[in-house]
Amino acid sequence: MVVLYDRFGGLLYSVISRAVRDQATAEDLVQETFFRIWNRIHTFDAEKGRLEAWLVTIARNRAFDYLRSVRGAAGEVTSFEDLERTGHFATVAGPHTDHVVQQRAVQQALTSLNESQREVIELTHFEGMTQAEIADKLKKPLGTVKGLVRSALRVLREAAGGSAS
Amino acid sequence: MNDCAEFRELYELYTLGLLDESEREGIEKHLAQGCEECRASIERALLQNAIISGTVPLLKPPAHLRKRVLSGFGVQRQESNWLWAFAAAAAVLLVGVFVLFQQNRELRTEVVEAGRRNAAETARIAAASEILQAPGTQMVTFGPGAAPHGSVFVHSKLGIVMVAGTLGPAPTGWTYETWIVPASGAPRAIEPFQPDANGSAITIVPGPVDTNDVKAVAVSLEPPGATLQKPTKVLFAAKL
Repeated sequence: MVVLYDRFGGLLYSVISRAVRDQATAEDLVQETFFRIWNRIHTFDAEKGRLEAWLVTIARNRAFDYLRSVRGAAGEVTSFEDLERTGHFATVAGPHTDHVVQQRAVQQALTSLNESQREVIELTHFEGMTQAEIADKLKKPLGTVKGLVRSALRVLREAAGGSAS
Repeated sequence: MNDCAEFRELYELYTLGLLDESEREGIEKHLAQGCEECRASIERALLQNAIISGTVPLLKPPAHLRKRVLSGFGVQRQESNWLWAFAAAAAVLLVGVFVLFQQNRELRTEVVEAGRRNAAETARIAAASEILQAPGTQMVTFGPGAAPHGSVFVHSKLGIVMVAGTLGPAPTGWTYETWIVPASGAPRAIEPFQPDANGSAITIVPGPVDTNDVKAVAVSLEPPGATLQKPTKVLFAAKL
């Protein structure tokens, strides 16, 4: 756990802090995240998945669950526990050789998004907001927000897919 | 547009848990049919989401957080030279994709060995983790941004876990006490505890809980010789 914390603690703290925007809460959630990692490390398949991506997923999910509980949105959106039961989270898959290239391609694609697209991706991926919540926050029609999210994700998906092919 | 093509547009949001109920149900009905193409799309979406999340600007965590996290595992006190040597070796090995693959295995080994060193603590952590991750576990937070603050997790069959932070040291001779506050009747004292040097504490109440009868989980400070018939100085009550 020492090595794990020293290698990835900063990244997980950053992911969680970005979501909850409160240092004390972020510290609580980092501690809880490491408990979850401890309990699930046996489910991680190093031959199929990327450790960093798996850890980031656990940290981000914990932060989003917290935000939902604060916003009182529990029950209105997909529960991560439901997703985990399906086994999708056992690995965050991707051959290692592809990952670095994919990572670079997605990072580059993020910078190519227009301002509105980037804004909605930040709100979904960093702050865990639903499209309805984003529409409310940005005072835009829900259909417009859905269009922005889909177009942004399409750019990112094509960047990742193109780099992997 | 067939179902797969339509759903493929939604998998990033699905794996982020951000779809509304009707969209989610449509996807889950489709996945239940065993669509391998969509399963692969979901794995790609998970990876893409993780990459995007990982582009967050890096912050340096406060130094005390390392101590707090590691002390929770009973690991820090037992760090020894070989472990530091291992860490240094692991750092050197962090070059290239193949090496990262190797490190994943070593990290798992280290986690397993740390667990063996302290079986009792591991069992406690495992019990807490089981409750934290079990489907159906309810979570309530208390005092975000204030002191004390934290979360309470309740599972009707497995029990209750409370994770609290920024608890000051109890006055000499006093202890912290966890209470279950029922919907009717007097609060019940459950478990005394002392926070660690970082002011954090984890208490676990294993076993079935009648969630319909539990109104709140509370923490109090109790003086020496307290009869625990009722809380002396309530610090917070997390309402379920």
